[in-house]
Amino acid sequence: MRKYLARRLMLVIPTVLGVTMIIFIAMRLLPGDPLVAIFGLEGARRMTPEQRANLEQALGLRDPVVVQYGKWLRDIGTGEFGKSLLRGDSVTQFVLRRGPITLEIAVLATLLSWMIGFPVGIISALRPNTRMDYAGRFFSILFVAIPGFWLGLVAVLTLILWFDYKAPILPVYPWENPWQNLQMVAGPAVVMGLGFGGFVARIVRSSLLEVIQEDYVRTARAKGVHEQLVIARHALRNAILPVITWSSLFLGVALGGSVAIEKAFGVPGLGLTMIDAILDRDLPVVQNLVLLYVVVFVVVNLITDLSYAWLDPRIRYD
Amino acid sequence: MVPAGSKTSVARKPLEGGLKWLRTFARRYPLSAYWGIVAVLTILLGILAPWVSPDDPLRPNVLVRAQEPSWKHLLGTDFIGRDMLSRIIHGTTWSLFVAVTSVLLGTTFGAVWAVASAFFGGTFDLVGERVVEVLLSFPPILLALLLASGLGASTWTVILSIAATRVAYGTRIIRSQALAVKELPYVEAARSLGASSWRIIFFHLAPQCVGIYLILVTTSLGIAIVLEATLGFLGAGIPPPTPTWGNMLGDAASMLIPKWHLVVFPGAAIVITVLAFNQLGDGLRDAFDPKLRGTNI
Repeated sequence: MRKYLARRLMLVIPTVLGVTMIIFIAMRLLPGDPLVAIFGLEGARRMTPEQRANLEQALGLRDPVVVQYGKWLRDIGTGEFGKSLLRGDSVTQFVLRRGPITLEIAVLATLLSWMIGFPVGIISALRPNTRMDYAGRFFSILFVAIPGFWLGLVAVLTLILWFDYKAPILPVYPWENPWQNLQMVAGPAVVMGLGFGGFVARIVRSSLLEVIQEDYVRTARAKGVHEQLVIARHALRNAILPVITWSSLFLGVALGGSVAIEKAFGVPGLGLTMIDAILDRDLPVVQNLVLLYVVVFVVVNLITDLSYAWLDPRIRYD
Repeated sequence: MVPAGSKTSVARKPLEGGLKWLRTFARRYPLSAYWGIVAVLTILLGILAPWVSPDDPLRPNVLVRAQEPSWKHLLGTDFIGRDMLSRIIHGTTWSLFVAVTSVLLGTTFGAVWAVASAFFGGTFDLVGERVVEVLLSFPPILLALLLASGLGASTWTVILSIAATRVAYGTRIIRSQALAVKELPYVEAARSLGASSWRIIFFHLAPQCVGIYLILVTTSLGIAIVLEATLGFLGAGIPPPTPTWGNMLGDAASMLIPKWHLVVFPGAAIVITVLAFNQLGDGLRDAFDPKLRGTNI
């Protein structure tokens, strides 16, 4: 196990390096002049060539590409993530201020998806091809197909028309004002949770259907174990593994999807910061935020893989 | 060799076989078959858009700005007075064109890479696997967003960006299939008969991956449609005035108080199309490869 852990950790390094390369190349492709992003079209045009050269020097835009890439890696290594070109805030400040909101949304959405997905999936699997099963499957098929951001738009529209909803401007944290915070994160969390709930229900159903046909479930029933215990103790425990795998994969989708959902609700989370930065060509913010998203995703996948050994003693890594 | 007179029967047989296969498919997977019809109708609508749409999707009319549905404009008009029904019908063309092209591009590239990687193995395979891992570390929409804004807004850059998100999935899934097939005795037999590498790849390895490739393409279409719509909604998609469903939703959301019909109808178009392709893909997957039943590729 320790050897496996070490190998997996070693493999994270080339992956993250590759990710930084892709991000960096995409950033160099970005059309448009960073100086225009900072000073506006008019300001950039009125600059003397000398001023321009000085500013580019100060921003490090004059260095060869390889040097710029090396500098970025060094900055990451020293925990220096740079400043927004447009606003005075550092990227670290952005993450500390807006990260909690996005994290809260992602965690709530995952919990909600289990709360919806497990009951629906279990009922579907225990009563296959009944009306309940069809209803459950229809629910999961439908919510898998509905794009989260559109559901968000519809929800916002309803809230505006009926409840006089206003999009929040500044983040409100649960430790400041729990009620306002809940109002802010509930919408995106429910929308995302419904989408994942559909996925979870589908996976729970198919893996439980498979497990129920196993010999040990028949044995448990034959020796007279109560049906609820058979499901809870024998079947469900073994059906849970694929749900864990897919849940961690969804987290990546959730992180990405939260960008559009935060935009739909106008919730000031990290996703909204990122899309604004991308559209504003705010390079330092974009490259470091994208890297953060990817690293979080990679780490979660790693933890998932490692948790297998604990959840399923049959899996042995040597 | 083929006796005279059998020509017609040879020509007719594939069609008959196809029809028979369709009937069996419809009987076994009725739900998928219904949604398959919806998918075909959507494709037809996309192809016939210029002939069936009641109005010009690009012509604004200031007299009828942001009107709710009426007999004249069945789905209402947008904020500069363009007919929404025509825009949604033309949006079908764009969404399907982008989705189909990007999925075919991305998955085909991934498939070719996968078969080569599985066959040649060694360093090529090892490095390739690392690249796949890097690509899979990006949440798909983030990779598409990064590339689309990096390459600049145009139809082809959007297609390339979405295709890039599909490559790694294609490679991973098809590689494992190719690896399994490579070890089968008939491949060994071909090799011992002196078949060249190319011959083995094209005639023995690749045909075994076609089924899974087709499944992958169908199930990816829905994802690609949603990706394109998300890019459009975020303002990084195909530039306006091109009518895509995502652009319409982005336009609607940019208003202070959105009109309900501008939000509901384009979204409904996305949901119906995605549902149709997902359901068709599920049925095809179960029909072609029972091993994958219930999975989510």
